[in-house]
Amino acid sequence: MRLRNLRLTTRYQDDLVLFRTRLAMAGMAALLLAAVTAPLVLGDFWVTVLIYAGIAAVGAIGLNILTGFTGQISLGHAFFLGVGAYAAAVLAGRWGLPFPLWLIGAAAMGGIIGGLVGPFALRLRGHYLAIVSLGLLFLGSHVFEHWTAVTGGLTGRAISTPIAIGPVNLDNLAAVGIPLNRNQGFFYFTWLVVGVLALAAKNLLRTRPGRALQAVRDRDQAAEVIGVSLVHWKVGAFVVSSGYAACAGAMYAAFARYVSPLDWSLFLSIQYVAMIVVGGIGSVAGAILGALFLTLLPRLVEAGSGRLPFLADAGSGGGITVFALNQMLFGLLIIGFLLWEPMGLIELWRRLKRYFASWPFSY
Amino acid sequence: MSPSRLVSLITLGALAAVACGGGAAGTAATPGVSGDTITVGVLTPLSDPVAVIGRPLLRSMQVYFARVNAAGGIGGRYQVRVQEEDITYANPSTSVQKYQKIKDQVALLGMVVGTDHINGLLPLLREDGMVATPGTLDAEWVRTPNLLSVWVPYQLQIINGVGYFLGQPGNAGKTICSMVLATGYGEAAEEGLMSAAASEGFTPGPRVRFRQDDQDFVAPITQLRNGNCDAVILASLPAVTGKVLGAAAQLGWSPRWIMTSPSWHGALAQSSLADYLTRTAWIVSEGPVWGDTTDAGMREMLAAVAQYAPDQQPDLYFTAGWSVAQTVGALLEQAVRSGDLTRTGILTALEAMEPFSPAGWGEYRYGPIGTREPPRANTIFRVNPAAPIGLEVEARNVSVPAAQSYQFTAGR
Repeated sequence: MRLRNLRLTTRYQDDLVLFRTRLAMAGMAALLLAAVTAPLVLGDFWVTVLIYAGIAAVGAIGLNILTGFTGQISLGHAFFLGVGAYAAAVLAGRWGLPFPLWLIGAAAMGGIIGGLVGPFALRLRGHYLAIVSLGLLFLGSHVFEHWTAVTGGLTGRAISTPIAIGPVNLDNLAAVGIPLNRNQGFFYFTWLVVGVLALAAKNLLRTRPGRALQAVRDRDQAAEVIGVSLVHWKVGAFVVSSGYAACAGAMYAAFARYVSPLDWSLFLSIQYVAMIVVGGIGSVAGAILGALFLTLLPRLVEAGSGRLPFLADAGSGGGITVFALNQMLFGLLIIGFLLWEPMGLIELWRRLKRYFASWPFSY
Repeated sequence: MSPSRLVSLITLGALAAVACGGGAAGTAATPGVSGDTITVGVLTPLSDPVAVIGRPLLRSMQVYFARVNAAGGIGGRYQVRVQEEDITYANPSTSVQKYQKIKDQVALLGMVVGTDHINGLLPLLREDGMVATPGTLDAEWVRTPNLLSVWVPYQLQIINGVGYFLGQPGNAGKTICSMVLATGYGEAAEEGLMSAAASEGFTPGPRVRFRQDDQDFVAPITQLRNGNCDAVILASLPAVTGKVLGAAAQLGWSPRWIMTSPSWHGALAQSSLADYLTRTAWIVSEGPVWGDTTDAGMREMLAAVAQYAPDQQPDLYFTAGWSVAQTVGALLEQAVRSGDLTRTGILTALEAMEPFSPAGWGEYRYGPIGTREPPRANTIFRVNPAAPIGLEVEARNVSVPAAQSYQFTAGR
């Protein structure tokens, strides 16, 4: 099959393809190659940072499905991450379920609880829904702090969720002759999951369900008039989004091997909102970009702090600290993107592509 | 080239890359030891609100080892270099990331601040066989492998503080409550209160938790006041303590505040709360008071400060960090004497380490994990704005029977 240049489409089916041009395929191939080689050339520090970025990408994709594509605002995303983490701890640690059953079970648990929250979206919208989701977060925080049998209370709990299929165990790859340490193995696992879930989200969104979700977002009453069930799709969006978040929480627990109720805070929910705003609301790739950007930014600022003359040395106690600069950048980025590029980082990329698509005749 | 062929090529390339490259990041036989230099890592908040604790802890380690290096180094040979990394107290994943950054460059972690940070690092410490010194005082650390614990645990601080309060004339039978941070540190303080209650035979009054970023404390203070609390255990952090006690002062409520050591900062004694604190606050801690030249350890520290950090202001956490640095130095001396500075060697040295008293501090019995014993006596301080760190001694060597009989269980 020849891959035609599909930038100018003539058929409905062409509008649904993942890669419109050979260049896009080559770009994806280059990204894959970079992902494969990254843990082999980067040190454990950057590999760890990228693992956290990948875990955040899973959660951000889920939030984008809910907020970006369905228009439902949620500040309770951190709660579902916590549900996933503790569900994984129980399924793997206490019930002894093997991988991938505990991961699927944790995602399912998040989805079920999301399905219970979804009906609130039928009666509420906008700020009111945001407040209800905030209430869910605080309720969840209370449960996490006091359900000590499952969560360990404020002291937290150690998590044992081995990622092993047969003799291949991420905690000891060398035992089967794979020359990778735990961080490297977890990097591949994390970004494989990101790829699979991103593809699943993309498929969801470029087909009939995705059109229904966007119809709910754009004109919910008109959508219902033409037969798009608000109950079905709004609750469904919560289920899918919560499932993604719970999956991210389970992966976080598997990597960190310790979680505490303090991990699932309001600030985490706000960070996820920032990821999809900065990355691009309504775009799967944007969610991944936003997660990468906001996870890497503080570490990059620290790494480059020696070259920023206005930054105080760590420990000096004077001037602008790295922590303060990161906080300022976080706020400025959200404000800046909302004002000047509300479609986020992905739109910057799209503008670049459009410019060079017709270069040198672009205007 | 067809898409399927392209995918096949990428897959083959990926398999080849994995098979050929990577493996564990290169580690020397003795990570953190290069020639005659030992590198000690420090993970502590240096730029967030908890930096008021983290910065002086780091500085004290730097000053201590500068002095040790000038005197010939560990074992008369090894110079010690301190490598610090900034972490965010409210985000334990930052310590995991920074640990991954420096783990191959340090022989041990001389300080890690934050209960949740220590908990997050424990699996990694076990995997890598590294020793770390927790900058927090949970009783659970006493018998946790891979940890070089220091100081009197929070649980015993509270037991001693409560016991001392109840032992004052007219205080028997009074109501004791708690107001603690909603973290593992706060939970440790609550455990101390419950242990004291069980031992002394009283029922605690209302127990309140708050968060580091809370702004309004009128409601919890009112709850405690309505519970007729005569004394309140406070497990807080310096940035929050002022707000908590300010709310109490505004409401005109003056219980006896029995504070854990991390709740205090000298700046509080110079604030508008000074008078209120003078009347109501006790701080349960240990070690010598800054400037007390009758103490040999303090004289030594002051001499080092004058030489290596003349701009250092009196600071409770500098004094505390100085004691930690001495303990880390003692461990390294032990490892050098045994001729093994590998990770295994340092762990073995910890198990063979003799009981050690940082100058002016209580004796900590190290050795085999099951027999380790921290000091069990605290010094109760009261607030005096005219004193160097705003504190003067109320009572020394306070160790009530409940603290002496406290049982430490196996750690995580």
